Order: sequence, then structure tokens, then C-alpha cells
Amino acid sequence: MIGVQQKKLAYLMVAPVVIILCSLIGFPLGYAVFLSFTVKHIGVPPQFVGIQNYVELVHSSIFRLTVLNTFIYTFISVLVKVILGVILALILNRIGRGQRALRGVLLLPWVIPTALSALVWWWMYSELFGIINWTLMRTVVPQGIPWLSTPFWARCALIITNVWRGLPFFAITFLAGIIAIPVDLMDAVSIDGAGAIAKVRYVTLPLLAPLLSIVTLFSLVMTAGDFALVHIITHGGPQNTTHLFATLAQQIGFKGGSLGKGAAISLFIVPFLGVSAYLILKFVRKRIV
Amino acid sequence: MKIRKRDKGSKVVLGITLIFLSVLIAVPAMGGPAKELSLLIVSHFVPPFETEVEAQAQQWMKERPDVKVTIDWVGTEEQAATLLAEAESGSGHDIVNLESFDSALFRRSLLPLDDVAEELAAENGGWTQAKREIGYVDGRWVAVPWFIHTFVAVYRTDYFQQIGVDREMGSRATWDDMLVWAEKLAAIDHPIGIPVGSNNDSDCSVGPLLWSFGGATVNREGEVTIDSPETVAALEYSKKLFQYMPKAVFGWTAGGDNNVFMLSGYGSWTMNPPSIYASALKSVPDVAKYLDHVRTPAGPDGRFRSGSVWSLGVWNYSPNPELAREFIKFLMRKDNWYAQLVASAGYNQPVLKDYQAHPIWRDRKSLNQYEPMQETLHMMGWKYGPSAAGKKTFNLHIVPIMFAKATTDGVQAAIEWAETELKTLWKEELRK
Repeated sequence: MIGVQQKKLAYLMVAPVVIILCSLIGFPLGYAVFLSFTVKHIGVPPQFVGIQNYVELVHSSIFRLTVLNTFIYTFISVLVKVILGVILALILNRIGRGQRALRGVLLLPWVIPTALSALVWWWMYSELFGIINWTLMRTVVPQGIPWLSTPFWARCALIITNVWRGLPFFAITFLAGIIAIPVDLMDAVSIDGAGAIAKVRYVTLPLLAPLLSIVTLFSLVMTAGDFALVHIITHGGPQNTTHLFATLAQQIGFKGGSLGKGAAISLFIVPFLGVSAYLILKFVRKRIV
Repeated sequence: MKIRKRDKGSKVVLGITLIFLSVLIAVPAMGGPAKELSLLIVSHFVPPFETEVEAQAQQWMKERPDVKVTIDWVGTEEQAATLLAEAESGSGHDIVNLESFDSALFRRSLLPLDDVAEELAAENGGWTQAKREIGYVDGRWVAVPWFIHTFVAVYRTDYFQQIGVDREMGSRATWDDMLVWAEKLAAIDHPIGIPVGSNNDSDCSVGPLLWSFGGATVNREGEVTIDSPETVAALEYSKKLFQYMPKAVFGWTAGGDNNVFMLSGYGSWTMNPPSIYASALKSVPDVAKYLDHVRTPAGPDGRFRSGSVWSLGVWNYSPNPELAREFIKFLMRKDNWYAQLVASAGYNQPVLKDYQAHPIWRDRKSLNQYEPMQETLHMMGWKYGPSAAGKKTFNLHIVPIMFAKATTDGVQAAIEWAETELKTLWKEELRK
């Protein structure tokens, strides 16, 4: 039995962390929520306007396009990363010699600062002088690909870069999950006559499911809130077709000086992520039980 | 005994350390400058300019040993967030570097500088075109214009000669001439290219095109006027012109895109300040010898130029307003401004009429149509004057996006889109 004194001591010990969390996460979040219900211009106190910012955003064509962009970018990027991540992890698991070195190399895109890698990709995507078009124009696509000047290809360019950056994290995490699957279990399945595909389908994937869900949730949050890739590679263009919530909020809030509206744009993502988190965690709990 | 000796030794070390620390703290407090003046300045495209300004600050500190001047240089991308954070928190630097209509965006946080602006104008022949369109907001000078960077036509003399166009013809060019020449230049695989993407260069390039056809985002009363026959004419024309430019121009996002276009030797004409020329002189002299600058093309309503006017403002919470005023006047003093101009290799253009007399632009043939300007200079949203909505129109790149949309969605759809966006911005501006 824990005594009253011990309970008090426990609360006391936890208090500093709670205070730090509240000040560093709670306060900015609370202030952002407050700002989103105000019209706040630089140098003057905020004026409470209720849900006016949200209503105006819903009627804004740029914002509606941003919602669509965020959905396309997040959904496709995460889906591709999950599929390729599992495949890559399975391949890595098969490699005996040099696996450790390969894992190290594979992690490079994930550890390189995003701003730096985004800049390199931006150079490579250059339609007139980039290495990708240079190669394509001399091989299979003589007219080149309009990577950054058309909405479809600009979105593709961002998704490719996001997958390139995020794939190592997925692959290494899934590899850790695969390695943790008991060898006895695999042996038993083999004795029962299961082939490689059956093993993946009936053993590996079901056992990986909780890990897969958590990694997917993590990636959903990070991808939907992405800023640097879009800011550096496309600036939200062409014609605003690659803006995400973060880049639009920066443009409206910081560059445009409309802090209330900027805050409202940032907060629009919260329900989307909240629902995703709820569904994924519910799935994880169900699998564990 | 041993322990005692150690104790004694420790006390001696501690005592010496404390005395040393006290001296470290006390000496600057006794003999160092009593006041500090801090500046936030946007990094310059020509780095020697920064060295010159730092040197001038050192020189001023010799004249004013009681003041320490600190300059923090910041990239253009960080500038907006830094200014916003400082204005909202009421802390940070004393003097800040503002771009174009930033003066209007931050007007409530800036100290009126009428005395400085009027004194400078009286001593130096008055303000050039930049004048009241930039720093004069709501009947007061809230920022003192420092220098301008404008977008002039940059072209390859050899490619233009190939199609039979000389410098004289180039400097008299109309947009109709450009259409004919653009077709010929595309045929010899050296196309023209102006940025039509989501970046500031695009605003400074297509803005003058719109204005030269008589189009404008707003009128003097702040009413949105983009839906006009003049805008339709500008967009219809641009559709014809853009077909001779590489499609990549719609995705150009950074200032460097059209620089590379010209420096590579591929492009034949663009709109930019002389930074392309400066880079070419430094790294590709074979290209530099063929680069020249002429006036922007004229349309039915005239010949226009746009760019960035860089001003100096003082936060209204600065503890050193008088020092700030004094230092701004020092930076704007003719000898100092000229030294800054030379350091910038002629890139900085004057805001005070007397400063236009500097020989640098006449001595360098390639710059003699850069300054003095022979076009009318304006910023996006200019008919109304300095406004936060004008700044937002620029930052959100509404006009270049409208031009890009005209090629994909049609002229009328592009205008309708721009009108909706502009009305939202101007509704906010006018209800304040």
C-alpha cells in the first residue's frame, strides 16, 4: 500500500515535468487557440471575433486547396513509405553479410538535415539544368518533366522527396520488429509447409501490425505538419497547389501579419490528426488485446 | 595538518578567482560604453556592402565612445519572422531594416521619424520616386528609405544582335516588340524568361507588365480594380509572350532561378537587378562581356519598374530613440552613403535626389540605364499607397499567380480568382 506521504512525494517529483510540459506545450497551444478566435494585427491587441477566421478560411479557395494538398501529400507519402518500408525491411532481413553497414548507409537520408537535402533535391528537380531532367532528356523522356512548374509533377516531386527522407526510418523500425519475431515460430510455420509469401502474410505482418500502426501514426503527424520540404522546393507553388497547413500558416501569419488567421490555419490540422490518432491507437489496442 | 594546508590553498585559489571575476565584471562597467544600439539588417546580395556598413559603425563608435553598436545580419527568409517576433514581444533591436511596405505592416510599432526624413530631404535635394510611397504612412514618416534595388531588363547583346536588335532598339522596346523578338530568340534556342512563380522576383517582373497595360490591383480609395479591360489585355498579351518562354518559369521559386538561366548562357533576356551581371563578372566573365541592362518594355500606359525599397525604422519601444535617429542620419550622410554604394558595386540605387549624381552608373555602360531610372517606379498595391494589404498582395504573390492561372485556367477565371483574394485582403485593410 502506498501511503499518503508517498503519494504526495510522487506528485511533487512529477510536478517539475508537468510544469515544464504545461509551459512549453500547453501555453503556446492555448495561446494559439486563443489567437485563432481573434483578429490580431501587428502592434495592436487582439480583438475577439469568435469563429470568423475559421469561416473565412473555409470560404478561401487557397485554404481549400491547401486541405486537398495536405491530404494528398500525407496519404500518398505515408502509404508508399509503409509499403516500401516493409519490403525493404524484409530484404534487409535476408541479407547476412554487410547488413550492419547497409543499415548505416540507409539511415543517411533520415539523418541529413532536411533543409540541406531539400536544397539538393530542388537543384536536381531544376527543369532546365537539373540532373534528373538532364538524364531523362538523354534517355527516355526527350522533352523532360516539368517537375516544379505543373501542379501534378510538383506534388510528385514533393512526395518522392518525402518518401526518400522518411523511408529509412520505416525500414529500420520494421526490421527491428521482424528480427524480434521468435525464430521458433517461423520454424514451426516452415514445418507446416508455409512458403515465403505465406510466412509474411500470416506471421510477419500480423505480428508487425502494432509497430506498423505506431510508425504510421508518427509519420502521419510528421508528414501532415511538414514545412521545410515545401518551403524550400516549391514555396507552395505552382499556383498554391503544394501548400500545406504549415507553409500557408507561415505565409498568412508571419509574412502577411494576420496572426489570428495564421493560428486558425495551424489548428485546422488538429481534428484531422486527432481522428487519425484515435483510429490507429484503437486498432493497436485491439491487436494487443 | 595536510588537510589544513589544502584548505588554505583552496581558499587562496578561490580568492584569486573571485578577484579576477570581479575585475572582469567591473572593468567594462567602469570604462566600457554606457549605451548600446542594436540593428537588424537584411543580408545584402553584394557582401562587401556589409563590411562597409560594419566599418561605418566602428567609425561612429569612435565619434561616440559612449555607445556600442551591434549589427545583426539576417536572411530575407528570416526577416519577416524576426520582425514579427520583435514587434509582438516589444523587445529586440532598436533599428530594423524594412522592405517596401513593411513600413505599413509594422506602422503601429514604429516610431515616427518625420524630423529625420525631412532633414535628409532638405539637405539632399528631396526624395526620389521612392519617397512617400514607402515610408510615409498615415501622414507620418514611420521609416526612412535607405536604398532601392529595382528590376531592369537584363539581356544578352550577342543573341539580340543575331536577331537584328541593338542596344538602342532594346532600350526603346515595347511589349509588342518583345513578342516579336521572343519568338525569334526561342527559334535560335535562347529564349527569354521572366519568373511567374511564388516568389518576390515574380511580383517585381509581372507587376510592371500589368501596370504598363493600365491594370492595377486597387485604386486610390482601396477598391479592388483588378477586373478591368486593361488587366484582360495584359493577361491576353502575356499568354502570347509566355509561349516563347520555358515552362520552367512557372515553377521558379527563388531569386537564383533566372540568374542561373542567364549565367548558363541559355537565356537571352530577363528582368532583374544587376546581381546577374555582378555574379557573371565574378564567376563567368565570358557571359559577363555579353550582358547589358536596358529599360523595361513599355505598354500602352507607360513604362514601369518595380523592386524593393529598403528602409530603416525604429521600434517605438526602443530605449535609445535619439541615438537611433543620429545613427540613421550618419548612415545616410552623403560620404557614407557613397561608400556603401561603391561597396555594393552600383547595386544600391539612391532615394535622395542629390545622390543620383554619383558617377558609378555613368562610368559603367552596362549600368547607365539602371540608374537614374527612366521608368516609373512603383510597388505592388501602389495606387492606394503604403498598406498592409499591398504588402500581403506582394507576399502572397497574387499577381504572378493570376498571370500563371491565365495560361492554365483562362483569363477570366484567373481574374475572378485574383479579385476574390484581393477583396479579402482589402476588406481587412479598410475595416481596421
